[in-house]
Amino acid sequence: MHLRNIITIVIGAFVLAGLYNTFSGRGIPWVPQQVEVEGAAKPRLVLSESAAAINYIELEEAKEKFNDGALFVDARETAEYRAGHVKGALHISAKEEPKAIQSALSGQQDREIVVYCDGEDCGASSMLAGKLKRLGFEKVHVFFEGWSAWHAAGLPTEEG
Amino acid sequence: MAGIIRVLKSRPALIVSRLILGGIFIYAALDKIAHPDQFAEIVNNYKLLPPMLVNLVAITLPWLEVTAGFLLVAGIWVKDSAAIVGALLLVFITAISINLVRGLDFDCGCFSTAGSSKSSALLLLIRDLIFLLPVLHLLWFQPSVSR
Repeated sequence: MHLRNIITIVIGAFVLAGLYNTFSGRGIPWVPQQVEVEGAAKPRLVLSESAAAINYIELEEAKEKFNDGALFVDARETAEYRAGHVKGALHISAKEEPKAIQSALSGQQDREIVVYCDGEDCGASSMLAGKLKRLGFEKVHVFFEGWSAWHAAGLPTEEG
Repeated sequence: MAGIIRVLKSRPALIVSRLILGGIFIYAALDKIAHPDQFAEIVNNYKLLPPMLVNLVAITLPWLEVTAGFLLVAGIWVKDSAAIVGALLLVFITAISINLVRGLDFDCGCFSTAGSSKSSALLLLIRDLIFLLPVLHLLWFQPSVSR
């Protein structure tokens, strides 16, 4: 084993990574963007272009979308969803395979979709929203305050 | 005991170890390379890195895996590649353990950026520990002048 060889392998891999990230068309920014979100305590970390296209909304706007008939999608774990969720919300785990997401939302391509999990630190809603964007859903919003804020505001919920 | 060591030292046993290890790492890397944006989300969800480093790791890590994996399969610089793979496994094991202890729900993304809700963190940990066996095998028994 030679340190020189190990360093060579690491440098080689970094060069390949750099070339691929620059020229493949699938690249992501080397440094993610930090974007201020109105109403959020800290800036949102935007990792890729598909993530940049996601619209983050506060409770008030989520309420409006709810009243306008937007489709709510709960990205939390199954047990959390069963214990209580936004009335009429579908449950799709952020870890779900793209094909399963597509079939769960077939025919809803043009609808306003509001994804939520629970709290600003929860990554599930952003992750699922990113997957939806890549699947071609256009009107995707993340209600970043999520379940606790909705529940605390006494807005319509259901169990099961 | 001497018999076991003779088997471990044998050329076929060393070839099997490096093909399995290399194959696993190439396979694990391909999906991450195909979907770097999703992999970046997964790295971020581990909540272990400073935000500014998340994408750098997401871009380079799969290429380190695929390069070391390719060298293992090809039989070039076997010990050096095994050392890199071993170091990566130790990093993964540490990351999974930290999140297991602090109870953070995270998406492993070890094999696929689509994630797997069925495999628990504990299973991932055990799997990575098992992957260390061929690494140790190669580091111990692979002749140093290896082509």
